[in-house]
Amino acid sequence: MDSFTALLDGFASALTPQNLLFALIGCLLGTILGILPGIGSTAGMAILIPLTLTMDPTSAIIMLAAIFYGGAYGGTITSVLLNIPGEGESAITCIDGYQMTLRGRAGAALATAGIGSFIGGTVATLALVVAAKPLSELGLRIGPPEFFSLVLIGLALLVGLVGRSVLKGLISACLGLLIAMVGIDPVMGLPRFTFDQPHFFDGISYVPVLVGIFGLGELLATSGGAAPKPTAPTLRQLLPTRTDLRRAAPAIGRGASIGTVIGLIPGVSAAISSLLAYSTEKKVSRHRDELGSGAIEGVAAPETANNSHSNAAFIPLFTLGIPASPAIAVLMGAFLQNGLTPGPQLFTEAPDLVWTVIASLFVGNLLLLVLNVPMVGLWTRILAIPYSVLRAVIFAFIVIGSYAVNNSVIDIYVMVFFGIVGFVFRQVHLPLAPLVLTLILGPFIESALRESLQISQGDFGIFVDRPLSLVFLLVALAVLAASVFSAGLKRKAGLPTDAEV
Amino acid sequence: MSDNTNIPASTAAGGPATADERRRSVLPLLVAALVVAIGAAAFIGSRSLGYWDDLGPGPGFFPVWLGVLLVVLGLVWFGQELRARLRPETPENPNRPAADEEETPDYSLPTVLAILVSLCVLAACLELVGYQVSMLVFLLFHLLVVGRRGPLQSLVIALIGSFGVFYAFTRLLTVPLPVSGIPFLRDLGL
Repeated sequence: MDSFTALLDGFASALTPQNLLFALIGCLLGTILGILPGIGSTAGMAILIPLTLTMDPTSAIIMLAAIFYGGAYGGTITSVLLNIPGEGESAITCIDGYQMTLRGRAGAALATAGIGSFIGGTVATLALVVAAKPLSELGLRIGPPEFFSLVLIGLALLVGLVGRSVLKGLISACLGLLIAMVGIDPVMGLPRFTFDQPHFFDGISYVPVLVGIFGLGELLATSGGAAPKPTAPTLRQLLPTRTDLRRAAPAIGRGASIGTVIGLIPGVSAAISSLLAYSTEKKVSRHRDELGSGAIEGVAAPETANNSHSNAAFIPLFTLGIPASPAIAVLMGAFLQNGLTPGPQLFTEAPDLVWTVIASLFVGNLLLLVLNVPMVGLWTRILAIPYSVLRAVIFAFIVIGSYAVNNSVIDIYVMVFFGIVGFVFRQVHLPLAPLVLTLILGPFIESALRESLQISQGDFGIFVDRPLSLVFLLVALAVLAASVFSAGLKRKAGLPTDAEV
Repeated sequence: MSDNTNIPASTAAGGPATADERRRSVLPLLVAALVVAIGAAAFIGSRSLGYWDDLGPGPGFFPVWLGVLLVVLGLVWFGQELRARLRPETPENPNRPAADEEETPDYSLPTVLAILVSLCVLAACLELVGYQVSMLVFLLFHLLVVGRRGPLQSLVIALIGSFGVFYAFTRLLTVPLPVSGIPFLRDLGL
């Protein structure tokens, strides 16, 4: 019951006017960013990190987390109304969601997605509350060799599952690690790859890198297209019928469990959860024949699954210190930027903060449901703003965001450089997710490896001598081998490519 | 991404697309070569850092291996891309590498260049003439020239984005934005 008492205290703190306001701002901003073409919640969080530096850390994290799960809801809106997935995890929703729009049932689709997201998010957050204590105790027993091997599982899953080419995933991961090497070496204090620029002694700040790769890179890659215009459903259309609810309920239940379980696995993006939930419906749903032609299950299941995944992804972050996806990696960046290292120690070092953030997940999910479903009309009006105007405004923000981290113009150039990198990556189909994960985790991976080898006095056997580490390594190897051999299969199955962006 | 996503029509239709396609098909080779070069640079650059010391692996240990890995992976990729291009061209298999079967969103090279150059110019001017003036000009350029919006609409948005945002950030959010390095302009509050 310890966890639940702590959670109640967390609620008391999350419901203070200030924290409630930041959760609300985060939900609204996340939805807008999810809707906007060319900028997802991952880039949105990265852009807004500098603005949160002057805030109280708890409020800052609450707001950024709300942007994160609010983004998924925004992505749903464009998937259903325009057949354009604003976020990768909503891609599968396009199929039945857009068909429902064509039949004049967009409102019911969006409302069902909203209800499903709320239920999915709440179930996953409950799982977080239950799992937090035992898992963080396990996390405290994990030493550097186990941590290193565990991260390798996450990387193997990411490289193997998300991209279609294992080779390209590995290249992307190595490049991310290399960027993370820039700066003063953590053990010896020697500058590495700093080009004699004092600015880089602290390493390349990941905010301009992420803003460049996700924000500018995407804007450059889509610079030739014009955004189509949606029509907003009326409020009356928003109400799902009783049949809708009856049909959606089992799909929501299945989606919530799939998302919660898959969300626990580091390295697997929410797109995989929504894909799995959709294919499960195709197999077990009573109306499986209607899937693909506007069935409510085709919206309810994946939308529930991706939101429960997003919330479940906090579990490995809080208990083991491992970000499960690029978006969570950016959030981890926000923790680090605020002087907090996510992981099992956080429960003893800053229990108030952790439990307040967890409580705010419940609050934020409820806010999204109450606010966003009736506000669909307003959101679609944002899409009616000419793309050139939106783009100009986004440019202003990415410049300010990059500058404000260190008050340095060099970071704007860094952002532009990584914008080109992101653009080129998209043109040659190099996945971005492995790069982002290794960029954030790089220093942790390196110190885990070096500390392990210091413990063993240079003997690599330490990774296989310790049973837990050996198991992790074997799992990582199996995942990588399986993904190499199933590359052709995956291509046929049409798995999402860089699904988290 | 699902097959029925409504991404704007790709350049595959013809016209200027052929030149575009050709450029795209060379790009993976260039990038693969660049990966090899970066790996080699990392390897060479990290040898002086100290591979191993009394405490265990030194600062150069990790980057040396990363460099080796990048060189190997880059070479394999280069080989794959090259082999895909050398394969005889058939109607079902136009001269495109297998990995390129995914759809790439449409981009316009002049716009890409305009965005990149304007951002660099903005960065260069930011501390010289201050945020407000440089952002005003930057936004006007993107709204009037690149976006072809009307003059009044452009001016209003540009003023909000430059002077309005400056006020909001420096006064309300206490995030400092650069002012002009030229004393005369600074005295004017720019």
